[in-house]
Amino acid sequence: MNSIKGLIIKDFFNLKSYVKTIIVIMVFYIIMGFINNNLVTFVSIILPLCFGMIGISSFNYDNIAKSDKYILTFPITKKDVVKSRYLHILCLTIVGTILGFILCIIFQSIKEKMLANIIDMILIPIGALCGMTLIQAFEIPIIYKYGAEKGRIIQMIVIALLMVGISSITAVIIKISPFSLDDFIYMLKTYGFLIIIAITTIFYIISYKISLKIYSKKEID
Amino acid sequence: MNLIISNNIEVPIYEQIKRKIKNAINTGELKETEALPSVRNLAKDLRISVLTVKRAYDELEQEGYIKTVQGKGSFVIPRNKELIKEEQIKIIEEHIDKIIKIAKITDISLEEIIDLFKFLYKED
Amino acid sequence: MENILEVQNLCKKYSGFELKNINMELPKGMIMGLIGENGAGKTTTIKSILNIINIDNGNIKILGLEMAKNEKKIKEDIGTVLDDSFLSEYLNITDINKIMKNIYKNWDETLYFKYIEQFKLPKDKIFREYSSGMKMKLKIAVALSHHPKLLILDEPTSGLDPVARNDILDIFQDFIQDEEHSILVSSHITSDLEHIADYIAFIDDGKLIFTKPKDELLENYGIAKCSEEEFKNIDKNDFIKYKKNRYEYDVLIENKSEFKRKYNIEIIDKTSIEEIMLIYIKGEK
Repeated sequence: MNSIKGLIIKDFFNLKSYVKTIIVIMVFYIIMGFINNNLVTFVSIILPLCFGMIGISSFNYDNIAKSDKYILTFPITKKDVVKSRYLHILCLTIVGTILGFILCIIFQSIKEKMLANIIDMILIPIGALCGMTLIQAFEIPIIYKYGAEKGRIIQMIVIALLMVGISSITAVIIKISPFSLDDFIYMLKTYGFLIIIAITTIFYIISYKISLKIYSKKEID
Repeated sequence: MNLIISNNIEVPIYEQIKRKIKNAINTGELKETEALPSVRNLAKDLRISVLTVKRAYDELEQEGYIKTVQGKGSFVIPRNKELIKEEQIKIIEEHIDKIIKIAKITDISLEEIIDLFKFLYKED
Repeated sequence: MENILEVQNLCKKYSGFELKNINMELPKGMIMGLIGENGAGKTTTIKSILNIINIDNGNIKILGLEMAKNEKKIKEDIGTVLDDSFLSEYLNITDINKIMKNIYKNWDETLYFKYIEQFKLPKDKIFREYSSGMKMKLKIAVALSHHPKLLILDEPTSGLDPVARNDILDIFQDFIQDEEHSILVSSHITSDLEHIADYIAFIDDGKLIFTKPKDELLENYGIAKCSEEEFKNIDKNDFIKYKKNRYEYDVLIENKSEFKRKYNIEIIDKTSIEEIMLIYIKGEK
């Protein structure tokens, strides 16, 4: 467990050069939030997405330093390596979600009148977190299989397909089911988001197992 | 102790070390029971491999110059004065052999050599 | 002598390259130099020993334990330097310390910063900004700071100037002062190894040509310089390979004194590891 901690610390230290970028992004959205009242909840979507992408960039850092083979000379297993990477990315995405939530609260309190209701303010970031994590669940095994470079192109295609797929499936479901869109939104706001969290968790765990399998067989050079 | 070795001469390095140490023992520069540098230390100081120094020490031990005590290092063995003298005489004999050979080639007489010998011996 | 490292029947096949049945042993307290051309299989051998790549066949034993079954335990006692690979380009020495503390049970902070001091490594720069000599020294400092018993280094001196190379040989000989310590070091710069290595393992085209004590190699191997007539008289079994030059044949022989007794050839030169390697690779039989 300790060695996993070591690897996660490494991934976080690598982000030091990102600190400035992150601050710029946050300032930008704070200003936007003041200009446009509709963007208030947007910050709680954009931050988990940004942080999730930064998490994925840890693969690029490894690529630059060719650190994979070096790390495997340590008293750790390939399982530790994959596990620490999943934990790092998840941690970062959660940090982004929490930051987005806090910013959103600050907005609301400064603006004096509530622009969004409290349930939206909680559910929207959780939704964004689940969405980002779901994308990562598809993305990470692809990166393990094809590398960070090729992975990026494939990742874009996958995300696009995912978006189209999910939206068309939902559209079809809404069309053929006896419920209206409002019913669905109501469902999502009550027990529906629990189902989404459960599905995301399952996908993430399956993704981890697949990545582990890929990485164990991979020829590292 | 002078332990300069050369990488560029035909004599193997272990042999060079042996000769230098033997010489130091014979001239009394290395005293009886005195400790030699450790194998690893000497290897580092001379920038050579451990096995090379080990071989030199092993052979010196076989020839009765030094003794290696496990964990303590290598020491110069107290030597029999007679034995040393005998060895030195052997070396002198070899040299005299050469002198005689050269003398015979150029027809130099025994008297002439002895004279030369006396002259140089005194001068020294 | 007890072996710290034993490699038995190691095989690894890639498309276009194959490591064929490598066998070698490194006794405790010794330095073994792994030599060969670029692409001969040195790095693949090292990666196989460290179980970084999945080998097809073979058995690796380190400190008397089988690597396949005791990987974590064994790796606590190994320090590794890989030529082109490190933790990250963007870390400074304090970051590295904080990470490594969590990686090795025996990580010794004090020792690490002592090496940093000794190697005069700047504390305010990140790895990326280091010169290649400093990079290598930092890698070695990291490899040494958990009190390993075995150092495995892949090309630690390549790309360095003579002064930095000399410093690194010093570090190796300091490490080997403890007779429980051993080093396996690969290099295509054979002159570095010619001084300090106790054993030489020579790999060519995925095959292990020999592993021998270096002194034995330098003492017994030689190069007979002969004319064409002289060369024609030499039995094929009495030499390893030959290289035809403009005026003479350079004939690599395994046993100088025996060869001298058998043939009347005037010039038999002593040889260097580099020359042996060269004639092996480029020579004919």
